[in-house]
Amino acid sequence: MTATPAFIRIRNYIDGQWVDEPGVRTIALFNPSDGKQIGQVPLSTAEVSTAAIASCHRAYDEWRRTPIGRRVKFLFDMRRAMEERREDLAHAIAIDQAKHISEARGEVQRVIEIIETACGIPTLIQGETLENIGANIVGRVLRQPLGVFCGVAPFNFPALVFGWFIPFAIGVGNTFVFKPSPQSPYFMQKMCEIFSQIGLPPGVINVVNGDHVPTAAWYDDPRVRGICMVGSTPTARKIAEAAGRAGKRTMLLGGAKNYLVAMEDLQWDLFI
Amino acid sequence: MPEIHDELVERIIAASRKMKVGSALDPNIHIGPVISAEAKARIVRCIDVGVRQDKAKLVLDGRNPEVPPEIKGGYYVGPTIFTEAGPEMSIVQSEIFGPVVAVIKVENLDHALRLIRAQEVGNGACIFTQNLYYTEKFIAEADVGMVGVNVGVPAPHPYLPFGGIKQSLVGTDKAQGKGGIDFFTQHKVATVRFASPAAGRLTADGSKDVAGPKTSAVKSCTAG
Repeated sequence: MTATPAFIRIRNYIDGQWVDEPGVRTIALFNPSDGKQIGQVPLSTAEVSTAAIASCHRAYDEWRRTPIGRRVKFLFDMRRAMEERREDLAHAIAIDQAKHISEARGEVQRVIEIIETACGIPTLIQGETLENIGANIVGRVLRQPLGVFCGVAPFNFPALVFGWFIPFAIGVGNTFVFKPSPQSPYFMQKMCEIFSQIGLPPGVINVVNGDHVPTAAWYDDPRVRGICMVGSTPTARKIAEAAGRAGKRTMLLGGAKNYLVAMEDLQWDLFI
Repeated sequence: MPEIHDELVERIIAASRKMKVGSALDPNIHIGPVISAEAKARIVRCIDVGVRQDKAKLVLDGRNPEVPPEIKGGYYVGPTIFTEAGPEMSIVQSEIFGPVVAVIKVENLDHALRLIRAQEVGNGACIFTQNLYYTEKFIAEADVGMVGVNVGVPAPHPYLPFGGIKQSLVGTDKAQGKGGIDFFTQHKVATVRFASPAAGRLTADGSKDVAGPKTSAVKSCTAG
């Protein structure tokens, strides 16, 4: 396992490179287990966010034309690298997000399973054909990527939400700008190391850190085709309105409060 | 359900008392801290409101859990259990983001389903039962996006879509599974008409080469 640095300097990952913005403001990163500062997170500007979109946009043309088997090979490689660094990744979640290490391992395992599912994309993405619509007329339905997607994660699932957005998005041929929560950004730093390690083409995934400023640059940029978020319902509605005005599609998972009903015949061993 | 309410409360209190609170990196611990000092303060306020305003009965108080001195600066909230809760209460309606459970004594399955339907959000709901009728009725009538039967968290495996309904889902698609494929791809529909290269060839003066084989009379994708 990689040792945790004495001070974690969170950085942006754009075009396959670690990028520091000169003079950028930062906020402290804490270890919730002892309340001590363990690092800092840059509050990236809208310019950096736009540079990340531009990088994704440049990468998109070639990435979408990359044969599907080669795209999926990157997902297989990502999965293998995650398995090899499983403990390192779980540890990264347990440090700043402070999910207990046993649950952090579970979250990493779930992301590995999402990538395994996304490895089925060559089958899942297949279109349909209807022959003989008229004499010598065939209809065909294709599923194609759209372009650049952007997504923002909440603090509580730094790995899972990456999993919900990125393997599917890039597997089908899109490129992605991701903003982790400034309270739990460390896991994505480790994933960027993996993106470099497996040779993922620059610009297929860019990671920008900060607060709401980088995400505000997404709505009016015509190169962004869709926006994803997991967070509160009021925030989801604001994003839906801004994205809707600009004609972008959205995947927005809002608030939740889950009932659990215990019937009189429940089997206790299954319950507790 | 009334028949098991008291036993259920006793059991979850007993199980919660066994949960050790402490550092997320300590393998002997079960519950780590919450994310920030602000989050801890907010969760503690939610519990205070449950006691003072909602007037629910606090049967396990996690507001000041004991932790070793070296991690005293961490943001800890222990398992907290309210009983005698009702659907109108703040502790039942708000998403607390902390280890706080509110137990409502319901009369029967229809009562439980009414509470679920009254929620503005509709992420997930679970039922614990061995009864097929309860199971099928719950799956059919709980208006949430994800249902769990005899599982505590209704999050589906990534082969299947994840997401709620009602106010829990804004936008069109869910994550992962075929939901992920739908969201990240767009359809294109191609209509292809083909003919033998010899068919309907134009001659140099623009007139049809009538000697060639006849093509279909269909000029659009309308079946003719």
